[in-house]
Amino acid sequence: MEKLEMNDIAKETIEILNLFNPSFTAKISTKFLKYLNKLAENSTKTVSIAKNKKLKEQYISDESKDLISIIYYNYIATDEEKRKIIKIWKNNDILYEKKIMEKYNPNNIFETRKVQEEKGVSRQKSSGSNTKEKYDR
Amino acid sequence: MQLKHILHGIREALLISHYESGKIQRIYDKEFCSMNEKLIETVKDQCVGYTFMDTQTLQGLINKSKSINELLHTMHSYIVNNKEIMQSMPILAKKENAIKEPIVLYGEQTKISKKIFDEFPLELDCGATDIISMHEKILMMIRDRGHAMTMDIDITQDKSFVKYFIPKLCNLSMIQKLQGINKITKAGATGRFETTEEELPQNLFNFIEMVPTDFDAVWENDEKRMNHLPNITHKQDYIFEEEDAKEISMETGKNGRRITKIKQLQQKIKEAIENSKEIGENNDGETRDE
Repeated sequence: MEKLEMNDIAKETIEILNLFNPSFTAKISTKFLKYLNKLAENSTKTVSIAKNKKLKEQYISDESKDLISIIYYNYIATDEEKRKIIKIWKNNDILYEKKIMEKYNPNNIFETRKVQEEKGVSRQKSSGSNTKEKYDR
Repeated sequence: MQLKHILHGIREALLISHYESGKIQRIYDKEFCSMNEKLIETVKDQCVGYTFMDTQTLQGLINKSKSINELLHTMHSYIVNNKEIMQSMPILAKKENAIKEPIVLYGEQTKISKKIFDEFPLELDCGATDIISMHEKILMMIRDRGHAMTMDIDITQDKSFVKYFIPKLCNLSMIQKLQGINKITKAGATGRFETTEEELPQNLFNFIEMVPTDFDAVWENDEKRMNHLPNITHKQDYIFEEEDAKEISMETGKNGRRITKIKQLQQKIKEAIENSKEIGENNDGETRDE
C-alpha cells in the first residue's frame, strides 16, 4: 500500500466515517472531526468504498485503519477494551520485529551456507569421495 | 550516472543524520518515495502511448529524476511504452478486433495470459492492445481507452492484483465511477483492485469497457470540475457499525495495528493540526500508553 500524506489520510478517514452508523460518529469529539475535515480539504484523493465488503476487507490505506483504531480507542472503547487493545498493538509490533529480524538477520545467511556445506559433506561421504580435500583447497 | 548521483546524496544524508530514526524517515520519504507531479506530467507527455522517444529524451527525463521512485517511474514508462523494446519480444499470438485493431500477446506464455488473449472481446472498441505475459505478471496497454491505459497485473496463488493508470481524463464522471479508483489529478488517474485468477479475465474486460474514450469526452463541464475535483461519497445508508471499528482495532497478526505506527500517526496528526494553527484539546488523537 502506498504511503499517504496526512491530508489524504484525513480525507479517506472522513469518507469512511460518513458511512458509519451515526450512533458511532456521534461519540467522536466534534473538534477532532473539524480538524480532520480541515485537513481533508487539501486532499485530491478519491475514495471508493465497496458496499458489499466489511471494513476490514476494504481497500483502504493502513494509515486510515490506524486512525480509525485511534478514534475507537479514544472515544468508544471501555477501560478493559483499551487495555486489551494496547496489548494487541504491542504484540503485533513484537511479531513484526521478529519477522524482520528473521528475514534480514545476516547470521541466517551463514547458517544457510553452513547447512548446505554440511549436506555437501554428508552426501560426498556416502558416495565415498574425499570431501576434506575439497574444502581444504 | 543519475542513479550514482542519487545514491551519493542518500549516503551523505544518512551520514549527516547519524541514523536518527526521525531523520531517516524523512530521508526515505524524500530520496526514495517522493514523486514530483511535474515530472509525472513530463514523462506522460514524452513517453505514454508509444510517443516517439529517443535516448536523448530518456536521458533528459532521467536527469530530471531526483528520487529513486521518480527514476523507477521514468525507466518503467520508457520500457513499457517503447515500441522497439516491445517488438523485440517474441509474439505468441495475434488477432484483430471488430474494428481491425490488433490484439497481440507477447512474452512468455502462461495459462492465464492465454485465457485473457483468447477471451478478449473482439467487439470491445479498443485501439491496438498489447498483452505482455511474464511469470506471475501481465502488463497490458490498451489504446483509445483513456488515450492509452496501462494495466499492471500481479498474479499470486490465490489472488490477482490489478493496478491501472489512465493518462487522459476523457470523462471525469466515468473515471470517478471506475472500480478501485484511487487518485485523480491533472496528470491522470490511478487505481487498483483485486480479484481471483478465475474471475480475472471477465473482471478485466468489464473494467476496460467502463474506461472512457475520446468519444465520451465532455470537455467544457469537465474543465470547470477539474479545478474542484469533487469527492466521491456514498452518503446513502450507512454500512459500517461500531463492531467494524472494534474489529480493525483488535486485529492481530501481520495485518493488525502496531504501537510504533500508531505513535507515528499521532505525531503526524499533532504536527498537521499545529500547522493549521488551531488550538485544541491535547487529548484529541492521543492514546494513553498503559
